[in-house]
Amino acid sequence: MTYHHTHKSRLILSSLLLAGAVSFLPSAAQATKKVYAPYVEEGELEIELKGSYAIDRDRNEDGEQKNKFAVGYGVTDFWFSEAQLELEKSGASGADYEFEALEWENVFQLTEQGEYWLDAGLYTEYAVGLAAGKSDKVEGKLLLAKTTQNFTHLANFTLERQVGEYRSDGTEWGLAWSSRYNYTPWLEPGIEIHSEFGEISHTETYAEQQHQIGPVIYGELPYGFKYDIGYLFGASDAAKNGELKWIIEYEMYF
Amino acid sequence: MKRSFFVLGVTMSLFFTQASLAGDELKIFTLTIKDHKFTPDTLEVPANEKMQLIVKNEDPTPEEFESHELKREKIIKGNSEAKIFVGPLEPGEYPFFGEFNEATAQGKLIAK
Repeated sequence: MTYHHTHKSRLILSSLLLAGAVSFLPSAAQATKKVYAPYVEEGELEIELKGSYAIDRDRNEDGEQKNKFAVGYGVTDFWFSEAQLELEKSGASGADYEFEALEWENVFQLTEQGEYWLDAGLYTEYAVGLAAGKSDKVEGKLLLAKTTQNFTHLANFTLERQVGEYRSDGTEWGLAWSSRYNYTPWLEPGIEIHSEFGEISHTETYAEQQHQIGPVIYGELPYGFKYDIGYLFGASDAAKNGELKWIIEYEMYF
Repeated sequence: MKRSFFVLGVTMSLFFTQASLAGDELKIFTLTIKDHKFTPDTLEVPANEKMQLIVKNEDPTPEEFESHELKREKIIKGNSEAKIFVGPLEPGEYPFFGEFNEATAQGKLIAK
């Protein structure tokens, strides 16, 4: 009973805090194409490489590359904390890699897997801008998951706001979705949608919003490695024509 | 817009509260890990029903309960226990194993 009460209290408090925080938050873009699951494993050390390569008709964006190197740890059975360094290279000719941001991510698991119809978690991030003229950023996500007999569906609702000296006002919102077929642990084919709707206070047209959709494969590899590789097609004018994304993850109990 | 998010938050709270009350009547089954083996190693459970497994790890070392068929992974520290929700399951066999001692820690649920 104590277990249930603790979880219920955590859920209610978190939901209300999120709703409240959203009300007061007045922004930026989802830099990483990852759809997060709301699960945390206590004592698990995670090393992650995330990257993307853009293909676009705009020469300044064509060939743009983003890379993140992350190290995280399951501090408790409901709190995972991760630090990551982001490097970026624009598509402009002669451009070189630059340190973009140093980020601190946290995932809070709010429900036990399968305890309710939906599994829920919260994600928070603070990113310190390292490149010249780049602002800091705060980001929050509501993480939801639903597993059925053969499919796993994940949804992330995102709010993002720039802070600090170079900030632009306004809170942006977005959605990331993943549905995968649980074929084998080594190969799970799926589809992802990544949408950035722009500022909450200023509704953009569909063409101005960024929407991407495409096939992704997920799976486990030997020795504790996991992969997540896909290609996202631009589904609105503002989105890149195409983007190759990849995540390689290594997990160990520590 | 702000009001919409607030309503979403409250609705979710109520949803999870109701779901939790319904969850109080769950059937509970217990598995024990000792000497890197599951006891019992075969457990009959009702099909088409959600249930809770309590996995007690009586070894001093951690173990990870894992099942591809049940789609569950859970690390259980040494000399502690974990609650794992599974189901509703279609009738059939659902193997599970201990990832840190896979050679000996094997078992299955049989849903009938």
